[in-house]
Amino acid sequence: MENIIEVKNLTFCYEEDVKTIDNISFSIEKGSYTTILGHNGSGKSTIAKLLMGLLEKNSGEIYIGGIELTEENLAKVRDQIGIVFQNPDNQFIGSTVRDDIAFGLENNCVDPKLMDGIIEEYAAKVDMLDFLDHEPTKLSGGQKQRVAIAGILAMSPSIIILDEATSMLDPKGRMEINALVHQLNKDKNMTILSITHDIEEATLSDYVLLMSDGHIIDYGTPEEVLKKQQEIEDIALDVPFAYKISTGLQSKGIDIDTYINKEKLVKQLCQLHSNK
Amino acid sequence: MSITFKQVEHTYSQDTPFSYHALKGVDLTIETGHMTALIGHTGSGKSTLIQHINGLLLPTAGEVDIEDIIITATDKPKSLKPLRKKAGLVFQFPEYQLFEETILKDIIFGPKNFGMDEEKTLEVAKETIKLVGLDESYLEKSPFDLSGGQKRRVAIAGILAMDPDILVLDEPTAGLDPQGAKEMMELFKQINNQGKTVILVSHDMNQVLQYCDDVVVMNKGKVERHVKVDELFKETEYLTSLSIDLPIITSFILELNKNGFNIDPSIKDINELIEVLGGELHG
Repeated sequence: MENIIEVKNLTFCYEEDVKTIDNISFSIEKGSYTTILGHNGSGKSTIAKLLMGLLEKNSGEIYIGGIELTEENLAKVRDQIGIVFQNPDNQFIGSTVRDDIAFGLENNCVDPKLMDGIIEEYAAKVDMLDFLDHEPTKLSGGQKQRVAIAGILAMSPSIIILDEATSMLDPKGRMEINALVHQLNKDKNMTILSITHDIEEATLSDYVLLMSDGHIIDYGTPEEVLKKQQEIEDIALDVPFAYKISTGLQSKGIDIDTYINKEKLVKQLCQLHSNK
Repeated sequence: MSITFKQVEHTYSQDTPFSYHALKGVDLTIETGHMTALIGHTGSGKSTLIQHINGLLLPTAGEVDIEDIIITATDKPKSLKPLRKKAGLVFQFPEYQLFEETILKDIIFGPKNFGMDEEKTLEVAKETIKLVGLDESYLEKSPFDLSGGQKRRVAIAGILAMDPDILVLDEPTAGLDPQGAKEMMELFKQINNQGKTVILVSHDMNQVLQYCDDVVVMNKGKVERHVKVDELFKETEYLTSLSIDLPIITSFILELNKNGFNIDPSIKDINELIEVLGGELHG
């Protein structure tokens, strides 16, 4: 499998001698969905900013799509990554949804004759075609984040980073964005890096990267990582609901597998119940 | 004693082309001493409603009665000072509002404005910093050297330092990691247990179920429900129509019940659920 992101011995300090990111190395498979989990202040968002070249590393190497992130290569690296931040209100430039999606295209010198077609294509992908002439500020949180994603998609990046992109949204907005991102991952083979505290969301990803105090403390599939209760609770996170129920039942003498996925747990419980 | 809204209307930028009718004839009585959740979509009027509780917004029509302090459209801000002391409002992301050089100065800013003497404010600061889970050594630090979660604690300490009878919180745990969120909610519950009224806006139904007594549902500027928390989560169809999630434990029980189990859907505690489930499977 090809790695689209390679990070080697990366270190970054906001202040001298305080390592926010401390000599970390990891790689991300092309087309995979990876969740980065960690407590407040663990360095998750700093990694996202380093990958985009928004912060300058102190040492180490970053490769995006085989290109090393250096000052000369900055534009080539940024072309490949789109990032959606936490606060939907801080991401708008245009006075209408159409202008907002156009902004990135104009910066990339796209032929104005082609622009309308491209804007409509991507607005349709995020189901916002009917809102092209609306003011972004008057949209709901979920709609705003969808417009932000449309603006990013129009630039055809191969990687999308979500930096707690749903944490300020209401449940409906959160559901809309999660569904859209999973669909882009599946249908367009886009690589997704999602930074979150939501352990239930992490159970649905391909890989989980667990961070604490600037270090990567675990990496693997959700099945491998999210069952390590002690490790997860030690870094101020919580194990998945299905894990708590299945291990709780095991301690009551019920013969049941350990689950992280709620639907699979329900299925086995129903089987046990009907066999009783 | 209670907090009562009588036919409260609020229209932003009234008589301009940008006017927005945010509260529409709100009638609501929130009992003092209860912990009440306010839920509903973005734009449903929750934030507008809570800003009436400490007089940051005045009703454009109707009357708000906060434990016998009456607020109407014509009230002048001066008469609102006692209300500001009575009801402390913590905005979303309150850490953005820290501004002093030291945490001590930030915490005592409010009490000093209300005329508390210097010595007493120091005592209060020492008490409240502990209450939010930080020790006294933090008082001389700059609030800007703290992590996001710690900043939020300091911002909340600034409100608690005024010892309000009513604590109003707008999504107090948004963006916090699970451990930080849990500690924060337990702090509010503890404050509530001391007899204070706590009103909080939340999108997290797990928190609402676990910590709150009552719940108010807002939709399109109106109060649609004001019930006990257990009652609300029985109305699954209504909640689905508003795209409000059920708490994870409730949706899990309902899913099992659809498949032949018979478990009380009002169970809130995961250990109790494991006990009951174990019984059903053994039995």
